[in-house]
Amino acid sequence: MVTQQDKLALITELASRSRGKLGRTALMKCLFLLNQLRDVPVSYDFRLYTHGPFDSDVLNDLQYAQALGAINSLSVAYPGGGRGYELHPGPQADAVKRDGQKFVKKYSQSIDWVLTEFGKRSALELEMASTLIFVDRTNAENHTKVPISDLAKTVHSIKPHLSMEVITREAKKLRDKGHLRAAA
Amino acid sequence: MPSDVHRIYEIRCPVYGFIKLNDLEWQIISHPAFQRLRRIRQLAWTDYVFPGAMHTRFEHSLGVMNMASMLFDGIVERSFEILRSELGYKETGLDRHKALVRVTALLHDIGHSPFSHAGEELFPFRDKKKGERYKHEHYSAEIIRRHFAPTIESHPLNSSNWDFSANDVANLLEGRPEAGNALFWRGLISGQLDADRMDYLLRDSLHAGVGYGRYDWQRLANTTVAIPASPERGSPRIGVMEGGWHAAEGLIIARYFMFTQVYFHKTRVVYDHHLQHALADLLPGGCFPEPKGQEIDKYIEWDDWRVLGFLGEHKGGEHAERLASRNHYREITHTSEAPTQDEIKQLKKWRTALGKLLVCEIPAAASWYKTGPVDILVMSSTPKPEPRPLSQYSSVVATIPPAAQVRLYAKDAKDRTAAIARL
Repeated sequence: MVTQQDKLALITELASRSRGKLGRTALMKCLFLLNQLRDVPVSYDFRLYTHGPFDSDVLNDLQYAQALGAINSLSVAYPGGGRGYELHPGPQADAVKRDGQKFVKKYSQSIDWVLTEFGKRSALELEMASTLIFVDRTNAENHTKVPISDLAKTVHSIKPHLSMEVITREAKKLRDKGHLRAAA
Repeated sequence: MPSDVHRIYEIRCPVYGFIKLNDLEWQIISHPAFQRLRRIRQLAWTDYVFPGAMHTRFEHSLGVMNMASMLFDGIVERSFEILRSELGYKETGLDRHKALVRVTALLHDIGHSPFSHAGEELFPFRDKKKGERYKHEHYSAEIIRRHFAPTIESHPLNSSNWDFSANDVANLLEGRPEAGNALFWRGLISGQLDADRMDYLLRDSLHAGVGYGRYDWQRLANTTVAIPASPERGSPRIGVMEGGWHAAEGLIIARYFMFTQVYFHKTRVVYDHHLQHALADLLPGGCFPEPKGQEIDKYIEWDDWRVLGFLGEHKGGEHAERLASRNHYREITHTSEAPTQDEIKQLKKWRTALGKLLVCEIPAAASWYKTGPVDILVMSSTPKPEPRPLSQYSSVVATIPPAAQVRLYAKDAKDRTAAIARL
């Protein structure tokens, strides 16, 4: 059974190890990817939106981690315009991580893995990868083998602002790495 | 029932004045499965604390449709170019999706159990190993597919203009990939700036007789926009123009106040606990039927009237008796809204001190109404148009505490004295 302390420790660990490279969208998608690709029981219920899999409970836990002083959200200007947040460990990060250390230790390699594989990607790229995986898992639940081109078409219908070419390239990359279950 | 397909119907609403419906929507609300919502109270046993809170899911569902429709129109009016260039819309596609969004909003709560969220802990497991239960959205989607397909699909207004299916409605509600670019509008049904919350805050506040849920919804509806995609921010999203940020701030403060003052009121939440246990006693096997096939037909036979009938016959065990006699469990202690680590340690001591006297523990994090951090994107107008999170405009929004309070209960208020002696 994953406790609130485990989840806070996991979020704090992700923020600490990413060294300020993680924003809110990236945190959301990394937790989804940890759950789907590494079976980390994050106990969130991700639902699909245009911006990919999302569960507001992740943001609630992030807010709690901030209130405890485990994470600081720093405002940053984006190169393409607009502002957002970067997550950094706060003064109480170690104390919060200690409360969930058993859980974090168990999945330590997976945390490193997700940050290495996906941590440096932009929000838009992470949304695309996680949406591909979400759609793939839906196909797998329906026991349907789907060609990569059809998978890309479905994701393009959700995200028309991304080109078919870009989506297909990412889908093939995910398939070649063994991350897709229902792709033919 | 014979009807005039081009007629526009009007229903009085205590929040908006009049709500207009087309004939398709009128046929939907005339369906027995929709009329069932008249027999499901919006806030369960809340009237034992706020006696006016007797309103139902029926009027809320109409309100969500009305609010979603206003937000949709506003976004189209102000952001058509983003919808066209980034989401592939043309004028005709927008008409279809507006009709789809209105029907989805109207039906979003069709799967609610008796007494709304209080019964959700009694939904069966969809994955027992992971401890995941079905949610009311699963019931809503199944009821829409099974019961509303003929009404939606054979209605001439739909078949000759929009041609969407009951499955399209259910897919949008559930957030299934088949919904395609319509998923953008899912944010109006369930999202950071959704019509569901926008309506229930106003409506619950009105009926409960509190002022906490009020905010300037007209201003908000008149400043809602689509925010374009960017590599750092991600896909297009629903946000507000800079002129609406105080209205958005008002919405978030209203959510916080309503949560702390009404939804997570110490007595209100413990009545949910009693109701849940009384229901468990009444339901065959202690849980509701699954949202599958014919089981869903058995499920929709459950409404508040049926449960109250059983309670009137003194069925439902100890918890039903407590509901009937207003002899609810008593709060012994609670943490602050965002407990520190010291408070969490102190809470453990309380649990030990109470021992078997501790009969119920209610964490805010498990509440359906928990505030969550809403950080709406605001499109600034100066020095140049660019989106920024609302929390960078509003220091109040930036510091609203998370929903992390915990309440502990015993059968009797006197048990507190016994626990203090053991602390």
